[in-house]
Amino acid sequence: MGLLNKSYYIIAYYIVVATFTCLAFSSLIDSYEQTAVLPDGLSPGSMRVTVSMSEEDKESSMKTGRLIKKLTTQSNDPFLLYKDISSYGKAFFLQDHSLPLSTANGHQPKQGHSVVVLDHEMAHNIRKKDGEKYFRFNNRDYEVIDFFTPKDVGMELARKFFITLDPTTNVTGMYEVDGLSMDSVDHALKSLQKEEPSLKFEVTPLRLTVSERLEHVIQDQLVVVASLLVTIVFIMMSTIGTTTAWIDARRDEIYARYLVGARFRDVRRWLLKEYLFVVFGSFAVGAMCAFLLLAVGAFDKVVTSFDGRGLVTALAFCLLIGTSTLVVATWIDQRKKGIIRKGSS
Amino acid sequence: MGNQFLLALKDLWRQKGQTFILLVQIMLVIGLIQFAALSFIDLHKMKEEVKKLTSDKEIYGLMDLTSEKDIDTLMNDDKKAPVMRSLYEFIFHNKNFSAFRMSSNSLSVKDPALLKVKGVTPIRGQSEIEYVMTTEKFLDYFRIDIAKGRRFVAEDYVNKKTKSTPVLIGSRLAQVWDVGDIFTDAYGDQYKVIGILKEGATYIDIMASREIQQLDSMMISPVNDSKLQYFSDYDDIIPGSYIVSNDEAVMKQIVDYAAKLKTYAFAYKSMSQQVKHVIADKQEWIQIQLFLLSLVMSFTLISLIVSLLQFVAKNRYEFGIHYLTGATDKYIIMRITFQLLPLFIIGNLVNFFIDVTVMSVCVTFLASIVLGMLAVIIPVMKIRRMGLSSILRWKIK
Amino acid sequence: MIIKLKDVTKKFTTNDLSFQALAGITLSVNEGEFIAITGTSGSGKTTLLNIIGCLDGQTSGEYLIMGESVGKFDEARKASLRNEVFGFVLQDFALVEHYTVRQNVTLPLMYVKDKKKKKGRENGAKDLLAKLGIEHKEKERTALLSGGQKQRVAIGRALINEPKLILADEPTGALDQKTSKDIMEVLKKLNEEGKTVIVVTHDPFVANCCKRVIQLEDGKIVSDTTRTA
Repeated sequence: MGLLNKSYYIIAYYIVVATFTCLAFSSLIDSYEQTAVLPDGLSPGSMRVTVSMSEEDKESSMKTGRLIKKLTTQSNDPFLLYKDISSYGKAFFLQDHSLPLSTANGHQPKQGHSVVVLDHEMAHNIRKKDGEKYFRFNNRDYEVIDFFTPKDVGMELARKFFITLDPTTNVTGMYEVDGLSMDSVDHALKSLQKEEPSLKFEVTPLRLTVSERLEHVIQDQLVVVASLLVTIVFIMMSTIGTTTAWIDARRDEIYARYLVGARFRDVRRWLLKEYLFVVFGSFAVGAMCAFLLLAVGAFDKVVTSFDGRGLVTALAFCLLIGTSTLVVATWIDQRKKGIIRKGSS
Repeated sequence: MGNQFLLALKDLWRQKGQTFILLVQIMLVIGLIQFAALSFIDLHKMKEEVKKLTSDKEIYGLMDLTSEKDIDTLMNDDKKAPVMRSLYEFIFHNKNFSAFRMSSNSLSVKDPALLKVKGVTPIRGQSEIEYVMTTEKFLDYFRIDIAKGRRFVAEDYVNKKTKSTPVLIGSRLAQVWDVGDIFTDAYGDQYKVIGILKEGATYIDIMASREIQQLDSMMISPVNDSKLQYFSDYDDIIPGSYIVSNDEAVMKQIVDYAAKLKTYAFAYKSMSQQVKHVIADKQEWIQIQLFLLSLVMSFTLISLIVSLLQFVAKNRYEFGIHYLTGATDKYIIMRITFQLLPLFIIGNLVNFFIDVTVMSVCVTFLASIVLGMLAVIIPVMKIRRMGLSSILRWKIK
Repeated sequence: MIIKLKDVTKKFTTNDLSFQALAGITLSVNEGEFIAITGTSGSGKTTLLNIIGCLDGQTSGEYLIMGESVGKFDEARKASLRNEVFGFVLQDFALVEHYTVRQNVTLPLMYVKDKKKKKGRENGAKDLLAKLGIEHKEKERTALLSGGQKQRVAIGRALINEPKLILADEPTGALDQKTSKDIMEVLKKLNEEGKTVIVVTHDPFVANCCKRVIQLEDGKIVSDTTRTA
């Protein structure tokens, strides 16, 4: 009870620190996981393929259909091929593969038909012809087979439509391949290059490296990262003074311990134990506050889930901050007031 | 009261370090409150603006689905300019619907007087003025009124002969120029002021941005039909057009016509649909600000309370002496409250460095009062519960 | 009669414990008296002085100042009595150590509402310091003064508002014999000038300096003797 009475201010500070660090770390971990989710339903093994001409001005005579042919002959595995056709949409080719979008009615494209899966919000761009729904793109009508609601995919732009890949378009462009091994794709492209030597290609895995993912997290969660930094600065500004006052309030106990033979490090260890006990208790309350804030959806656009790993990281962060604050505060206190004689440690 | 204020100032000076930290925290809180208030006001204004714009007719924005490769092909096709002219005429001079377009840019003008105008950016001794190039219906749809001079007339959009481009200037620029004045930009192009906009004129390019643009320190110049020659000239205007009509079928006509001319692959979106995204985007931004604000505010509030409580605890004996010589709780509470006053006054001065509105200043001021009151409640309760005789009796120093 | 207490009691209660500090004190003080309140530690001396000085309230009984019942007074009125009617001199001097001598002496003027009076007393502060023999210390911080000098500053502060009554709680408790004598001389002189002085003490020397000695024991007056000249 005595410890509690003397620790109100510290408790108040650490409840705030714990609440925000729990939210911030949950958000950061969630964001980090999101970076592993590839856009447009692609699986982690997907790769990006860029096909271009070695001479930029030259136009290739080769068509996309040829690339598809090469890929299907290289492997019997089912695969998905996307081609960028606009900043709003992609064209797809499916080889025994389903279109990985969560559509409203679960309809899958039929082979040999020019179809489109549209974002719900594009519904007004539909035209009706003979009772069927069509979407016009590049002067061509695509039958609308289903709708989807785009997922928020972090840094990626949300697509508005996915249409059947026209095999007669020029082969150059950006593709994404899902379902095939890097080697199969590489072989297919090399075989294509043999047919037209002026073609060049580049294959890169879509999965990001840890540092790339961290970079994305920092960009995506700039405000959360900033608030963590603000927390650290504020702790530095506010808690050290309060911790010094907390130590001051325990001067009698420190003296008593010192008089019966305790050394500086013994006193510091005892203070640290008590301080971390207070920090731990405050953390529990703070974590509950964070949970409640999430439950009522107070910051639903900043933090979406309460993550166990976020909680552990926040606890480690608070204990680390607590330990360093106390160490600094005892050092300041000793220098200022000399509560423990120099050389006693 | 004056004495207590002086004592409070001395108290602040005695704990300079802590005072500085509190001041920084209060400035941060007030700055964040100001930003959040401005965002709220902006959101409200935007809703009002869109409501105002779509009250009579729906406004549609074009979505350009054309691939970059196709645009490159079009750009390099010299025969496309007449086709683009045809598409331009179809969109902007169509009897069945009206359309407008604005594209913003900036121009450099060397005039020292401009440097004093709020909203004009100084760059290497010159002043960068933002301007919007607009088609005919722009002023009508954003209900932009003229305070002095005249509006653009049809001739301004096609005039081939005049040496100077006619411009309408924002109210703040009227400190420098008047109707009839001619000025030259860094490239030697001449501009003639034909009118001054009423103060507070705004517009929003909702398909491209979520911000409401204030025209007070901007200029408006007309798109000159006769100067449109190349594909790129039309490409600057057509894809970002807004079409005003109650008949959605006209949008399909535009999409089809563009496709028929083998130019753009268009789709479209209504402004009321787009505004939902922009509002959601803005709300997210506000929430982010509130997240940061609540963090900083909680810390500041706790810091203020802790600081005042520590001050009360440290100075109990001194308060006892004041009680002994005739002070009442009222005086001691005044002294505590006055400690916060300079901090909040300086904190509120931060406002002058932010582009504020009267409303946001009022909100921030009120929030400061509430924060100050919250900070003094516990210390005041503590003071009221202090037993005077026990302070002096037990010599609590 | 300046002060009258009728059957005044004071009980301190904390949690389950209670302590009867005063048990039915009846006392009258006339203008110009020089009274010592003596007794053993815990006999209720300081409690009685605190009640007289409106620093604390009684649990029961009636306390009259110049015929008016203090029980009816609000906090502001009590504060104005502490400011204008009483002057306090305490054992530990009760000075603000970071204030200068002058700031400490003129502290009560901060709470004087009459501006004219305030101005006049501010001007008279120098004379008061001279009278107490500390005029050369006017601008020094009190933390740097000796015990005797500090008590003189406390007396100066007690006198600045020309109170009717000086209440001194162990005024010599923290001083050596010689300084104690000097301080008592000052109080004696003030009494001779017409001030009513009440001193709480357990020091026989101090009690001997006073004309009337009231002895307390267990919160009750056991003797009240007035010395004849």
